[in-house]
Amino acid sequence: MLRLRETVRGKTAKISILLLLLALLPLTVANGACGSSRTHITVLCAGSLIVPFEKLAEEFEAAHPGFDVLVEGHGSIQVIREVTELHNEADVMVVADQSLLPMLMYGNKVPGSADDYANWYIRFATNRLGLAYTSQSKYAAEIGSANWYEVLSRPDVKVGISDPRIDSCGYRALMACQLAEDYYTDDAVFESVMGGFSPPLTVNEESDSYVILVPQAVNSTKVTVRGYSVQLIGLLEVGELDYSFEYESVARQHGLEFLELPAEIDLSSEGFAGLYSEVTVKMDFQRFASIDPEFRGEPIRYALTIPNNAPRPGAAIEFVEFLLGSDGQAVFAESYQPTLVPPEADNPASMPARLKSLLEE
Amino acid sequence: MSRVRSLVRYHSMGAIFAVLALLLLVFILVPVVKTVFSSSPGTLWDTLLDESVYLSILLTVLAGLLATVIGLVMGVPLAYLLARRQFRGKRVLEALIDVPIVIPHSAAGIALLFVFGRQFLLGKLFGHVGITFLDSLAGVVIAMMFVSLPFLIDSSKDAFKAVDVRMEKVARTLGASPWQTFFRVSLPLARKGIFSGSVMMWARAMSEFGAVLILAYHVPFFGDWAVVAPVLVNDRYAAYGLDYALPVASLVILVSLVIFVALRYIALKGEKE
Repeated sequence: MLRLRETVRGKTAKISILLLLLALLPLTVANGACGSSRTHITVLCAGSLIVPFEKLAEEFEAAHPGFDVLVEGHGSIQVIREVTELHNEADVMVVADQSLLPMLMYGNKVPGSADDYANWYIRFATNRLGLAYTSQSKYAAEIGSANWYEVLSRPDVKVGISDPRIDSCGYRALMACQLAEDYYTDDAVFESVMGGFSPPLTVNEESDSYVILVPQAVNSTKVTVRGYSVQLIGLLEVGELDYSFEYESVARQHGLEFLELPAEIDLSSEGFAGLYSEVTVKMDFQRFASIDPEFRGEPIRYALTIPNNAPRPGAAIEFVEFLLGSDGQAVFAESYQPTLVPPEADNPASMPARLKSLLEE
Repeated sequence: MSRVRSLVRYHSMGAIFAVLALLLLVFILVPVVKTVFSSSPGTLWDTLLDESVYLSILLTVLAGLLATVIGLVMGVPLAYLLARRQFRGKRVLEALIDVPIVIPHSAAGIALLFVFGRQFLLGKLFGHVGITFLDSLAGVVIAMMFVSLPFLIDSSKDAFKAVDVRMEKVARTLGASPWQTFFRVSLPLARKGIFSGSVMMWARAMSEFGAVLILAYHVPFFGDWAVVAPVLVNDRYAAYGLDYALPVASLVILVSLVIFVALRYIALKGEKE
């Protein structure tokens, strides 16, 4: 009897689940139909821009109901690889280092076509490199812009950087530590902050300039390395790290404390461009296949482009217009992301006419 | 006439099933075979001689093995209890054990940090005996354990359930202690299921990426540094591009294939005996 009741109960349960699924079916179908009538825009962006870009996508969709924006965050080099190596579709591409676009996309032909992947880009945002930390971080009360490198070099302080081989924030952290040596006239800064690497990071001094050589493997007993700077945030928040080199916008978006470094070393100021350019980070191994292994110090400039093989260039232009316009600026301001006003174009002759007129205003 | 029809029906079912099965096999095999043959044997050999590659494979195999051994010691008793005892909340407990299968593995890594991080209870406790989890072998092992334990526990539980309770009772009436009964009756009878569960756990552990990446990216290993194989494939891809990630990927696939074909062979042989 009991068994019988159970089977009956099992049956009703099954039937009700089936009915539920049937009820959901039209919903999914309707959703799919509705989705397909909207124009998709695929935006690949640097990981440090993910917060403002998610907001941009939301507001753009609200203002333009015909569009559906998909934002994917990657390391900047990865953003380009998604298109040039994995042949994924992208309508808009945004990287944290403007030099990557000409390096990897100009002159690089789309297979089966006479076009390069890209011929122009727009510089539109800036940033500042500094130290993110929390109130729980060791020596949080005493760290300042005059003694940070001394605090970081203490043996009980855990420091994080992102992988300089693949992440722009990582190689910029190396640059900042080297620039600090001249600024503080202390030539032990680099070694004491970026110590413990095996094989070591070496710095070659060449007539007024420095070349930092990054070995094939980046491992340190002193510095914790993660692929991308955003991955260090979680480690900071749970107290595994005391300090990590981050962009100011990212630290503020996550509600972390942020220590500003002097403008001479934080890679933010156009005025110190000459100073920054004295430092170069080079990948010290032969097998670097698809990227030019040299990064020269320069003010941080985010750049965007619409690749020549973008499936929906018209929609992409629409989104870029929104991003560079006043609505976009408001979103960036909310996300502590400094912008470049007015934005600047590289090789504007190849740009779509609509965007050209936007820059000329 | 009806016989012919039923014959056709019989064969049409076989044919349709065969086609479906074939499609699925193609789906599984083609990517694997394509990846393996994407690199020449010479490149594969060079890749194997690359120190960071063989250290990585060694680390992955070893950490997976460690996780599985700890899983066996602690998971088999749990599986036995679940198979034999009735208690309140058992259903809930069984569901909880499977939770690691469904949660995203990056989330699992973060969850583990909140327990084994140096600021948290277990992290502090282990810290006193000199075990830390960030970027260490111990971190790799717990990340692997967390995501792969359900396979061992579920499979062992089913194996114990399949052991006739009467056998255990007979052993007890013949004077065997509970320990003797477990080690000489239940465990040997359930060993096949436990073994295949262990193989599944090991396999799942070795392929773990997300949780390991958060907890232990680079690990000091044999006086050098190593990353687990899935991280190495990703690393090579991120730093050098697809061309340099492929040989590592094919090698990792080959090594896993050899290990698991061997283990399945042992398991099958055990079944025949």
